[in-house]
Amino acid sequence: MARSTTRSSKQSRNTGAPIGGGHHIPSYVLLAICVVYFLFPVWWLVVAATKTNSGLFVGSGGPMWFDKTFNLWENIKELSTYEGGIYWRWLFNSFLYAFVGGFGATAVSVMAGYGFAKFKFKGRKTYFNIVLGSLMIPTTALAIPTFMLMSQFGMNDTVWAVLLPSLLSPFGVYLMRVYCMDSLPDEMLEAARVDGAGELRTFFQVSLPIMTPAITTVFLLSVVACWNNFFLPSVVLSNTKLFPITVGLTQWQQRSNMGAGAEQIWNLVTSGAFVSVIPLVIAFLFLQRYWVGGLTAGSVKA
Amino acid sequence: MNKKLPKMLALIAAGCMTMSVGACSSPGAPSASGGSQTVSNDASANDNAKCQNTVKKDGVEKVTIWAWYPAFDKIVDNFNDTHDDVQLCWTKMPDGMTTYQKFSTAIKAKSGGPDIIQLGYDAMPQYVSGVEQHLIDLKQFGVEKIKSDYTEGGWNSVTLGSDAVYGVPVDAGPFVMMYRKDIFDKYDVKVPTTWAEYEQAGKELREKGFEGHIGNFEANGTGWNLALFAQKTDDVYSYSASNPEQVSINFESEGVKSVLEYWQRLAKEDVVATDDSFTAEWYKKIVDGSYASYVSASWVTGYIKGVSGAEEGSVWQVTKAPVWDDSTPAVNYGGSGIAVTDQAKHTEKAAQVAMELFQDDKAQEIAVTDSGLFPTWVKKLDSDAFKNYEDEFFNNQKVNAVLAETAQGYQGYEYLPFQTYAFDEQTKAFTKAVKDGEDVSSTMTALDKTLSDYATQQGFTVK
Repeated sequence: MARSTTRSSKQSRNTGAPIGGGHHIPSYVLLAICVVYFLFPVWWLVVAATKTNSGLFVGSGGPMWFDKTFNLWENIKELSTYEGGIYWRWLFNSFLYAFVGGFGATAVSVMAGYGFAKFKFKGRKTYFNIVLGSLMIPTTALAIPTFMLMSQFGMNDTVWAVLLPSLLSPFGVYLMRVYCMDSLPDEMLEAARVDGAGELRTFFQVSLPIMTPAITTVFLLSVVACWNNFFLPSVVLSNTKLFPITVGLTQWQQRSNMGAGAEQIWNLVTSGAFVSVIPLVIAFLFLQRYWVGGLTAGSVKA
Repeated sequence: MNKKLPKMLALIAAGCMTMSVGACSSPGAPSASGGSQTVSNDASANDNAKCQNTVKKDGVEKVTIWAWYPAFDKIVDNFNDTHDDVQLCWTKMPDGMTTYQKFSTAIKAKSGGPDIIQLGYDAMPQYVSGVEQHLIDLKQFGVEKIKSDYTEGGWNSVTLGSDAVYGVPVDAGPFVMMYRKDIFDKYDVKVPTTWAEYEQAGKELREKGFEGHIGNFEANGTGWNLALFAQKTDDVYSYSASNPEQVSINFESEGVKSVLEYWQRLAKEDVVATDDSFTAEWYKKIVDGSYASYVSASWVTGYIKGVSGAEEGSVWQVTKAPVWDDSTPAVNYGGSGIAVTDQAKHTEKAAQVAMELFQDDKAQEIAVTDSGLFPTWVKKLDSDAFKNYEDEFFNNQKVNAVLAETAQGYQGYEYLPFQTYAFDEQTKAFTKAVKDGEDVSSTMTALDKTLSDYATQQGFTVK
């Protein structure tokens, strides 16, 4: 984004536009405001992660600046020892739910989207409309019904109660269908069939490679959705060892509240939150082109 | 054939997508239990239960419990060490709210609940009202014989105004005043013992240049507000489990109005702050010297200790809560007990565990020193070791001596079966009256009406 703006300003200078290029200033100001607005909470988190428990409340630098004692390493050390280092277990669980759930959701979405786009079967339209309709239902609203279903199968308080529901991603199906319809010409599939490839072979060797960009996007979206999943695991899980990081940190925060567990571990909540966002930030930076590529997929192809 | 297979797969996948989660597998057997006062007798149902604690003895029956008491692992270990016939299996809960939500979900699903559950006294009635009978009356298991071991207030909190006993009381929250001695000394202001002195002291502190407030009125204080009313012996809520179709709501008494008018005046004159509780701001102000005193339940001391050292040179002391006059009764805010649920697999065993868990010197000792609970167990309250305990944090003040007196005087309150809703509505009304300064009388009339209408709508008779 920044790069394209600089380039265009250079261009305008080269073509001899009046000096100053004043018409860019408002957009810079707007961007600067956005940057501050978005980085403000992140900055707070960074600062808060370095504070002690009491430093969080009455630190010398106020909420937006470092306290005189820099406690980040101690906090991280305490994260590893508090309750037997269960924090890392939660982080591991989050990875497990995010990647296994994300992988499964992608597989289901790819197959379902492909099926909807390329096969004609009875009720295709109805089924697809139902998928579209379920996009409108927030997953939070399904948590209690899910709990009841899971309890019938005795799967509450197991990893399956979190993994199975996260395998279904209506948005992923929708995205894959759009992508398949636009980028997989029927003629190509016909050609593969004429050449004697079976449907499975066509799917895996002809269609899948072409779908790769969309698959990456769906995978990333599903991973993030699973990573951020909070309400469902908080309802179906009771065993703290199975918690993902979102539920675990919330539990610590609730326990720090007055009259609850009487353990003040605000410092672990802030530093734990800080450490847990690092993997996603890194993933985001390295996979940036897939994000941008994926979000615009299908928008320009006719 | 080869051609059709992927189509089939796509169909199945699409089919799965359209129906929700469980649709693709076969339906499971509907679980038993539910209905009122179910007593079950399955000693092996918990054999595979997952526990927070390490169960000490193998091959013994297990009883499951949900609780959020601090340091509860030690109490569980103590129980398991001293029992050969049964072992306790604990699932750690973060706080009351989460526990109630999870329990309510389990009730809807008719499975997934624990055998024993920790419940705040204010949360009990919602599980024992009308057709919702989810706590077991422990009378059939001989709970009466331990009645005399508990304070009157504690015991009244678990009978819910009926002949039945729906739990064993564990802790209480005697209403006291914690204050910053250093601040009162610095400005040379006398620590108040009555509400009139409290107002006076608050004004003096402000006049002498103290930048904070003497205290805070929290409109969303739920049980905290009720404790203030109880000082005027006005019960705003009445409910009895022996007559579970009927409730009574009374915010229009003179006592309630005078209490609110008092705080309204103090707020208007900026003598007290009006911060909502359980916000970051409020947590900060309690420990950073913005409030010179804090009138609340004794369990707040545990919190203050937790972030102690927040302000250097702060000297905390505990004294009795301010009173209106000599007849003002001792009051309480919060506390909890343990109850046996209708989902208990082996009800009799669960009842036995619930009755024995805290009926033990060692367990009470852990509860008081490690968990910071204020006991309802008379033996503990009366013990010299407890009364004479000098709390280092409070500069070796004998804090318990102050608290025990309050705790023994407390008689217990009643709460509504829809207490959460009532708390929400009362918060709105108190915000209007005290923070926004609207007319107390008409606000309380409106609150009365809102709650009574709601009760009628829910099928209760309003007395």
